Amino acid sequence: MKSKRGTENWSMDTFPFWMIFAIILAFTAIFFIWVIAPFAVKIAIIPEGVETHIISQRFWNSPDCFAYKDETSGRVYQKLLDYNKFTEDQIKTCYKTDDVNIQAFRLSFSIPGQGEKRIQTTNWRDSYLMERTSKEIFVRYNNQVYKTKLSIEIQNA
Amino acid sequence: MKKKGQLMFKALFVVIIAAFIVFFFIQVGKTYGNGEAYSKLAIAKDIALTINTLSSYPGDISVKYPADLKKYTIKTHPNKITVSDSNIGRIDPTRGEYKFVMSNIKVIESEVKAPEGLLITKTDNNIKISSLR
Repeated sequence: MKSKRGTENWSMDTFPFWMIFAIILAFTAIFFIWVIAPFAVKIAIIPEGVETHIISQRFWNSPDCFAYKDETSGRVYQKLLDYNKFTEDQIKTCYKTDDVNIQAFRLSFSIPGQGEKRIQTTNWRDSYLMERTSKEIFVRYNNQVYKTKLSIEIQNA
Repeated sequence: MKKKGQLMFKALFVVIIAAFIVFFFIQVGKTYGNGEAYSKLAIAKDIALTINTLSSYPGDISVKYPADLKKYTIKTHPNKITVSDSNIGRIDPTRGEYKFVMSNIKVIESEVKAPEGLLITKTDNNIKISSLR
């Protein structure tokens, strides 16, 4: 393609060359990163389970999740769950899964006379693989405190 | 037939592109080779995990992160931390980046350049990262 401005340098017959050049360059860059990436990568690895452990602490320690807060004194009781706060609306506010590819949790417990109560984060998928663990906690319901086990099911991102 | 000026222009263009590509490859190779890229990622992960930890506990807390970070710029976004080379800035191709879990607690956006260490504080449901003096 020719023009009065003399753009012959960028004529259409060089277009395939630049296309192939760009593709080869992109593949070379990817290969380059792929070759060097395994070196020294260990310093950036979080030991398995640590991140899940840290993230899950909020469920029973934070009043924004389920930890019971005495409104009179303002004191927060860690590992004492407020039965009335243990809802999916509450977990949506204390564990936001909107734009982060993160672990999914399903939590459940039961107390005498009330049966099992189960909630899950919005990114929970029933068909995915999961790990299961449990933790001894206390639940406050109608001014009574019950000792029980919180079942924690985790799907890794 | 091409004029001399056109040939010069084309050659110059190719040289500049080639120089840029060579510079990019050398820079990326160096940062991966000397572990800088992984240090940046490790720092980003450390800070993100600290934010996750602070989000999990009631009350006001301060945590010192005493590592020497003079070479880096730490930027806090609403849902992630980025650590880049202070000399290259946000176009750093090997910047470390890690996301934290959002909650009711607001993480205040900030940028800390070449700090000697970091102070991560949680006050009244706000988490802020500042330079450690």
